[in-house]
Amino acid sequence: MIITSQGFGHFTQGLNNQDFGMEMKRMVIVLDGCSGAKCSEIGTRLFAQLFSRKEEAENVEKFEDNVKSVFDDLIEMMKKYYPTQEDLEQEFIMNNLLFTIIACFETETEFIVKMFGDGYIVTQNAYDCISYIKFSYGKYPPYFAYKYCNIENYKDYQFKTFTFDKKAFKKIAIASDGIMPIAKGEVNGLDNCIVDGNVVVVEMGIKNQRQSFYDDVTIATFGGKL
Amino acid sequence: MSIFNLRNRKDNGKEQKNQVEEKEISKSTVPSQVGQNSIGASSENLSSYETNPRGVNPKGVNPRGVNPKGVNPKGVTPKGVTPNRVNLNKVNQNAVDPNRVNPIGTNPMESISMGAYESKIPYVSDYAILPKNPIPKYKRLVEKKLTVILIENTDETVNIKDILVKIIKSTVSYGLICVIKYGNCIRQSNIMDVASFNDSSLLSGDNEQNTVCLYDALKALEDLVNKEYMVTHEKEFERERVNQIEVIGIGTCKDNCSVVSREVGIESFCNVAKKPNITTKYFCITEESFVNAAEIGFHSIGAISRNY
Repeated sequence: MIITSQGFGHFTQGLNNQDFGMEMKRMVIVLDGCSGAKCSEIGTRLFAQLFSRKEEAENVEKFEDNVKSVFDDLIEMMKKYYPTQEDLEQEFIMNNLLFTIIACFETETEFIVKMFGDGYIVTQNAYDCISYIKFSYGKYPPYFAYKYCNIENYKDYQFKTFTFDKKAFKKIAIASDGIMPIAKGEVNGLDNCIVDGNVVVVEMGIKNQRQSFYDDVTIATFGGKL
Repeated sequence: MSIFNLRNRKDNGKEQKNQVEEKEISKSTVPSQVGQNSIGASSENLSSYETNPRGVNPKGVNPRGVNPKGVNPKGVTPKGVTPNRVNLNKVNQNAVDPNRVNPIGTNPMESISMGAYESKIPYVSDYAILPKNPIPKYKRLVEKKLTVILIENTDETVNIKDILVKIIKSTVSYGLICVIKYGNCIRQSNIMDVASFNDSSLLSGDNEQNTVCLYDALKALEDLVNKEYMVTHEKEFERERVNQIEVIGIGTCKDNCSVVSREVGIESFCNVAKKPNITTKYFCITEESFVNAAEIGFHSIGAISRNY
């Protein structure tokens, strides 16, 4: 189940929803485009389409290699359109490929979340208590595309992996950082709907208080109601 | 012989009128505070009133129907008193002598018009004098927010005490505060106002073995919430009730020496977290503790090193 909504800030500025979410059988993925990049919505959608065509895309052990492979292919394809490396970095990579990557895999015994950048993990424990785990790096979060640029920040940054045992956690959802108003408690009554995947209620709740959601919000979980 | 006849001994030519008013008074409703003192006094009480020059029935039943407990100790009759509520112990210093002629020309006794009580009511002052520091009978209800700091007392938290104090000061700005320190034992502070909170007592640093009893602390938290949440406490001038609680946890969310089991500890916390108007947060020292905090069920989880 994927829920995505354009942020009020992007709506007023005439920008597209730069988030993108994709659901497969055993994997869901959320990509949050950088607001400062001109066309990060192009990068998120292009990356998701190419990634889904990778062999064993839903294999958690091969996930990081698959991500690197897609980025290598994209940059290799575009090199001939940009004469210098500097042009390639400034004109293509910085404008299109700056987005955070959050993926959640479901196995028989556990949920595995892999993150590169900021975002939220929403959990429901065995006693039905909902938790919002926040990953925040301030104004300049790490992006995987920085590995292909001449930038010192986050050069050695790697994917973070978190494992949630199904005995302790009933459900897991992943979300971009636009979900902050819900996590802070400014929008009530949506906690259980998010983990249950109740698309209609969550979308209505976001749209009813659209001005509270300044940034694009995308939520992904397994299953859900339509 | 009625009480009004006794009073009007000095009056001339008004006895008949007084007897008519007496009947009307007896039919009127008497405030319950008068108690057993009825207007229709018995002859027995009247006899003792006659002998007692102060006018107080030594047997305790006031023939005039005044509750002795309602007598103004300062001797000044408050404004608006009914004719039965006359201070018989002391003379009303501001009372007008019914026999004194008003120099202006009008008799103040006759000018008071209160229906059946006309002309027989002693004059009272226009200014009601209240006793000092009155204890209000009906105290107002004040609702307050309580912040409970659940802090791990180990070397890791002691080393970053300054950062923790800043976080607490920025997060807790008003209301009441209570600190539950957990390490090798649990120490719970008194509930105090935020203004009187002492930062130096936040961490003690005496947990040399760095043992942590988190689940015991969660059980203690549940006991505190059950004791304070939506419970009204009587204070001197007001009633106080905690209607909102915020639980802020700080540490690594680990446990290695609790008496209470993990399931009981987590269940205790979830019972607290599910109540309305109770919010929970956990500041993890590192991201490694995120999963532990989510297992327990804290609503908002973040790392201290990050903006939260």
